[in-house]
Amino acid sequence: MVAGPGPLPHPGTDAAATVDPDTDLVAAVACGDQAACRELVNRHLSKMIAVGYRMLGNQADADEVAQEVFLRVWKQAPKWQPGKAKFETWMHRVAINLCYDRLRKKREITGEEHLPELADEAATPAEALQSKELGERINEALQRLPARQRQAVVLCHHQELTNIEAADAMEISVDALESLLARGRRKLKELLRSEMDDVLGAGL
Amino acid sequence: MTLDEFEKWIDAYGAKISSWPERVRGDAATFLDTDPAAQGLINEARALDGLLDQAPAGEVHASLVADILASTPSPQSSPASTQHTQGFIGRAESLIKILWPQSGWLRPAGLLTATMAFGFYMGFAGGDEINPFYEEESDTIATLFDLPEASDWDGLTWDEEGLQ
Repeated sequence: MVAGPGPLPHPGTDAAATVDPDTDLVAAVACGDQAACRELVNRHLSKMIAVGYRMLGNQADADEVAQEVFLRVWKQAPKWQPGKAKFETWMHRVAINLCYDRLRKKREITGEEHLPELADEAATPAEALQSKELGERINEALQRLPARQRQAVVLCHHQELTNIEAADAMEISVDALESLLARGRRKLKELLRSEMDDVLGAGL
Repeated sequence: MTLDEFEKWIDAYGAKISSWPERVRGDAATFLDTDPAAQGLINEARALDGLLDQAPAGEVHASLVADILASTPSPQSSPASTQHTQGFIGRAESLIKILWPQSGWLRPAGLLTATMAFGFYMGFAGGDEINPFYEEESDTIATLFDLPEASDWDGLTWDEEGLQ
């Protein structure tokens, strides 16, 4: 066995050469430039909603998280120091922390994390797909992952952060991130077995 | 690379070898070409990747965009004030040049006097508007907008499975 996956970035993301595309925009936001604020929203709002939606499983919570992220962006922009991390990575960190806060509160109220029921496994894949949209089942499978595994999958697969950026956003090592990713994806394979068999059976 | 090693990498990063850490991509590609079982793993991982791609991402509603844009900070007057300041100093320097065209050594003193006069002027004529954002909210920024500290997670512990 070779050593575990190391802190190497994904293609085109040489950490030393990474330029933060948001640096100028954040500086303009810090000066209250409304056009820059709009551009930052255009550039990142959908990503923040996606993080919230995939972490929390519903639109309302995702909207609130995204709005809170941008409130913090407006306030934090004057203090931003370029070069330490990409601004987008910081935004993801804020988003996942806000999601975590919500999961924690939900857990305090209910005593456990909300784990949505999956459709009856006895149903055939075709019936399952008819009874419930595929996307919804995938969302439910994601929600059944432990929060940290879900964060790792969302940041790396959906948000396409590099392993270094995702580890930074989660404030863990790359090795720990990869462990979370592997266990998360293995669990998803179990949860989405029938859907995967459908795909594989279709020869796609 | 062994099949077990290949599987560990694919478990973490999925079917796209181009997304794997650079230092293992070459070995992985070679292994994929030589081991039929590796192709099976790739196919399975590709199926999972494809399903994950279909996970709903939520929607961007115009009302949310409007709410977020309504919360943007007011434009600071700093840039304008800076221009104003530079304009004032420039005009003062021009005036000094006109009044004392040959007195280069007097210019710093004159400029200093003019700057002091400008300071008094701004103190009486709206100095608060120079940078209200910092004046009024810097403390709030420091307390509200830093990331949660470790102490915020009291009562909870993480292990790699998640919340405990």
